[in-house]
Amino acid sequence: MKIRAGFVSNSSSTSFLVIADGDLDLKGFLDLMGIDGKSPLVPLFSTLHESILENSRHPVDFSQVDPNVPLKDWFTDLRNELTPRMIVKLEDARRRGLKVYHGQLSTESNNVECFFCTDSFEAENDRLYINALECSF
Amino acid sequence: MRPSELARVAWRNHRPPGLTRIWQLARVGLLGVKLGAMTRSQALADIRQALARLCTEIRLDNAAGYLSQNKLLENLILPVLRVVLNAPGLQNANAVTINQAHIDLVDAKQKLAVQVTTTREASKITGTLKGFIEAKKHRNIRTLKFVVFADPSPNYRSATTAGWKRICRGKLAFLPAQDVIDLDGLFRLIDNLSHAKLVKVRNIIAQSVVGTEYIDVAAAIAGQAGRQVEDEKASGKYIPDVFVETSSAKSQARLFLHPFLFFERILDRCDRRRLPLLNRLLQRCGLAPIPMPDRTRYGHDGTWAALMAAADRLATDLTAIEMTVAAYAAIEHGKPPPTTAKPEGRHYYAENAYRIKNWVDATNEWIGEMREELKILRSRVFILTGKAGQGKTNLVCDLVERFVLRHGIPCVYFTGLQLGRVSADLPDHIRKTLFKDKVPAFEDAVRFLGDHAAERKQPFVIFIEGLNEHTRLAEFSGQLEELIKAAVRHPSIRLFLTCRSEYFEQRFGTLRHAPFASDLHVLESAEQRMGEDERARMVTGYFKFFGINPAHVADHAAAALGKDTLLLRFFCEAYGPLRNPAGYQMPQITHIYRAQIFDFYLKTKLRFAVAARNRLPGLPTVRGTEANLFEVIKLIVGHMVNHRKFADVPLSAIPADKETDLHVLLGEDIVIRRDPVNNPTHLGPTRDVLNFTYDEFRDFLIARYLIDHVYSQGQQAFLDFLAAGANGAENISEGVKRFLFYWSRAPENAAFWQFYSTQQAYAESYPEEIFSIDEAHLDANDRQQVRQIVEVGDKTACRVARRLIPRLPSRYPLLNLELLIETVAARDDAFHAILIEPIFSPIYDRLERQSAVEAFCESIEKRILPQLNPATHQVIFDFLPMLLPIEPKPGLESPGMSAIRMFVATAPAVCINGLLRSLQYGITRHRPYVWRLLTEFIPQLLDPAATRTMAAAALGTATTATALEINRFLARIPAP
Amino acid sequence: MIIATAMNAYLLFFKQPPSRAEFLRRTRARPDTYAAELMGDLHDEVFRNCVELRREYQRYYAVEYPRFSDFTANFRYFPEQLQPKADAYFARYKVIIPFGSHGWIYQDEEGLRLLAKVFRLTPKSL
Repeated sequence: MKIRAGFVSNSSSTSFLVIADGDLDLKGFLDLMGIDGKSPLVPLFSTLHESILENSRHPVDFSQVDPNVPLKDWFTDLRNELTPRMIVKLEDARRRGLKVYHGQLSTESNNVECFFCTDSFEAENDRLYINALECSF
Repeated sequence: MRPSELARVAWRNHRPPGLTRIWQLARVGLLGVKLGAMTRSQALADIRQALARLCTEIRLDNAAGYLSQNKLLENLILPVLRVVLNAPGLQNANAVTINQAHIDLVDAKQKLAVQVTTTREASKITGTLKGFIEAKKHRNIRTLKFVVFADPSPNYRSATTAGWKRICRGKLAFLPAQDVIDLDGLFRLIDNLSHAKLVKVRNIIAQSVVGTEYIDVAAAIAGQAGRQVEDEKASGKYIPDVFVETSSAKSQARLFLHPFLFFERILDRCDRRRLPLLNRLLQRCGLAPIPMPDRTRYGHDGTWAALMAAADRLATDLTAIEMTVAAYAAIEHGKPPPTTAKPEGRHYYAENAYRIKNWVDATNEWIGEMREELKILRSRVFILTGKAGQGKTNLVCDLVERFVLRHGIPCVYFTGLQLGRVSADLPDHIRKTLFKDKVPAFEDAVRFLGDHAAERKQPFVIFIEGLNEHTRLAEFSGQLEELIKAAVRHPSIRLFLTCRSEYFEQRFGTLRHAPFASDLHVLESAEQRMGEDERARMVTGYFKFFGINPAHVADHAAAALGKDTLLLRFFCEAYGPLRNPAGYQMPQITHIYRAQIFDFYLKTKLRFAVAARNRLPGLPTVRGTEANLFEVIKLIVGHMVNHRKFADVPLSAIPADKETDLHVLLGEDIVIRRDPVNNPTHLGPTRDVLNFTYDEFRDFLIARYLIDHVYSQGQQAFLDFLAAGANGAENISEGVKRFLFYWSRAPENAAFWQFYSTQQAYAESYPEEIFSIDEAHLDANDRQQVRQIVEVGDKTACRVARRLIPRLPSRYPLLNLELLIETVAARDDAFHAILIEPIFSPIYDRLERQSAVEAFCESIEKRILPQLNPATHQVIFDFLPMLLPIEPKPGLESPGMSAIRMFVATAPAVCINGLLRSLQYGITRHRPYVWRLLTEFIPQLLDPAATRTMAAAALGTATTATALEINRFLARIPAP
Repeated sequence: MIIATAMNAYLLFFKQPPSRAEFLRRTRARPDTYAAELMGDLHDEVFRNCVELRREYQRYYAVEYPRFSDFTANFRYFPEQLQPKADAYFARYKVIIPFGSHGWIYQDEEGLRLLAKVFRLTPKSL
């Protein structure tokens, strides 16, 4: 249920892709989102963090997996095709042995998750990359 | 003696000033040489007197009063100087561009500017010249003149004038002797005018605020509209407390009636736009931003021209936005971006194209709304149309009383009925009403009214309520067109008209094609947009006014009345103590039956007429009785039926011996009215005809007459009558069929029903009208027949389903919600989608306050929950699950879900029971929703084990979506 | 004061509304981050795009409706339960905003708490 600006509502889920150097810990996540531990937004982003971990049923740790498996095969459960930019990012992740979390946030889940389905964002720092842009509908 | 002193002395003595030429001309005037209708000497004397008064006012430092600087400038000085300086293009400088320092008036073509001052001090001129030159205005202005309204006239020292010349040297040719015009100088200029121009100046001055012919518009219109509103209250047509503001009618009216104020509100909406978010999105997608409306561009100086120009600028900017947005209209998810997109935004675009699409739609909708508002702002004639009895009078009276008068907007208010009683033509009637003979022509009246309003930065509004009530519609529509033509010539005159829809198209439709058609704004009032709350407020207001104790009217009966304002009105008139004799006891009303109310209304009105007749002195000893009066009505209806013409019954249809009774009826102006119509050949005399006041009431009487006097003569006569429409005669209306249907269903008309129920007309009326029949007069066949209608699943089926929904079996044993549930439950999802979904369409009308599901649930919350009785109300909760799948896009978060969650808090048992029972329905699309809700309500389940078993059993046949929800349920419910 | 009046609908009452900068400072969101953008949009929506009832009333409707409560009743800005207190609110609060939160923040107890916290308003129930 996406309504930004009170307009049309038509997406029921957002695909996400997170590339992390190691595990996706809360502190690093909050830092990338732009808040510290004292922010009133902590509950909001902690729930989002939990949702990402919960919905990423098969994270791919490129430091552990067989490097010969074609890249796309790790992400067959993503509903939409990977965009060229995502492929570049993932190639880089494989090269550097980073960990990739992917899945869908759904409007059918908790309110926070539902809320983030209404928005799209992309954020990056030297430890973490998050893409929650593509909505499936 | 200096000229100014001469002038003063001369004015004091009421003699021409000592200027040779004026003397000469005055003598010519006195000798009787006429200048048009006026002698030159008279003209000069008038000018003298008026300007003397002006100077006195200025000397008394009274300029802040009614002789404000701006008023003087606009009303007097500007028009005089246009003639005197031979500069017809001279305008108020502020109207040309905002903030014109150093200049009051400007004629761009002649490159002439004028500064008007009332101070004698040289420093004023010195300062202006300095500022003028510094601002480099001399580049566009060749001549700068000062007009000094000061008495005595100033006498500047030569050093001062030399200083002025120095300031202007090489830049502006400034000759103080010519360019500083004091009062004496002005006189000299006037004196030198041709006789025609002299008279023109005289007239301008005489009609200005300081002239003897000044028309005090405020005094002329004072109180007229207020008195009219009071009259409407006294007659019962306007009932203040029953007015309920709904829809956009009043907000549109505000914009139209006070455009200077409400243009600001349009601009506020501009500020509230969310376009910056769109532009951020576009920028990230590598696309060009859309232009933003810039509020600073829409300023104006308070004149009409400037306001309209500002509105135009906004409209232009909206067009620019629209065009940019149009370039993005073809964007679709998965398709390449427009060629103009920058490559760096590609990836963002690929993942957000659908968002742009949403924004395009939303932005276009916003632009559409803004345009509509600007159109209303610019309109000159607002026409509110609507069916009879939908509250047009109430809206207009409310507007006048609470908006127009409180804002001090100058206006006059007439009704069509009143104007019909006046023989003069419409513009002339308005002129005479306001100004008697002080103003010779309507065009002058328009100018006075318009100028008066323009000064106040408001329009002058002519309200004419109920155009259709005029007795000579053909003549009136022509006059109205003339009135509008004349009125729209002045920018500040506006007209607000109301008319019944059917009459408007038929009788005033030509307005839509008149030269001023683009200045019209026609709004069809929409009673159906009222929410349940609003309807209830309206009913309460009516009951209060007519003295009806709400306890005497069953809730559902009151709700039915709230849906039909005309019926509500008839009901109150018929049953309310206000219109009944002292000691009247109102019966208990449990059901609303149209025909019954009309019947009672007729009786009440006849009794009222008899009472009125008895009050008349000097009537013949034979007093009319209700039966006598009814006889007259029968004659009129009989004439209509026999001639197959349902309007304009000639007076000759009533025999001479019944004329007194006819006049009693006409005097009451309630059942019938007398309309003069022109001979269609336009030759010969006008003849009077009779019509019924309300068409629906006429149809009611015709239906009764057909049964009593035509059908009783034989079936063939009746059939011939029904078929007559096909043979070129006037068709009988839907209204007549409706009442024939009602009458046929009355037990005493069983024989007629036997015959009529086999007719096509009966079948046509059935789906709509069966619900207005007392359930006691229905049987199992009706239930079967209604079910068959619903089974078809077409638009009629939807209408019928809509009627069934509010009918609970406890009150309506046959045609009720249960019948609908049974019918839908036995069918499949496709049937649910074509029958139930359209009724509760999730599309929000922007004028609606809530979606249909929300409105329905709100009514349950207010009317059912407080007095919840599981035995009678379970059926509603059996129906609610059918609303669950109705949402804009499938997401398992429909308005129905929210409603049930809310209801479970107060009525868990019936809600959960309804959910469980709904799982037995043949339709399946609601099931995932039901299981999701049941998962949430696990703690409230009465028999969790049984529900668990049911869930496990349902898994086998469930669709994927349902299975997912059932699995969630099973995962959450504690194991046995 | 903040009151949830319906699904996705709140009434916000401010004695002194926070400036955008002050508001962002309270959220402790670092500039140029997603959190800051989210909160900046929220602030803009509330203070730029929503109708402010006091201003709207005073500017356009005070002549027509002698009391603020007449105005709110007529336009049904307040739910029935709050309507009797409308004039008192008008006297007490400088800024009164009906806020449709759908798409701007999530709607539940936690969402209400978050709004109350970032706007520094006391949550009250109907």
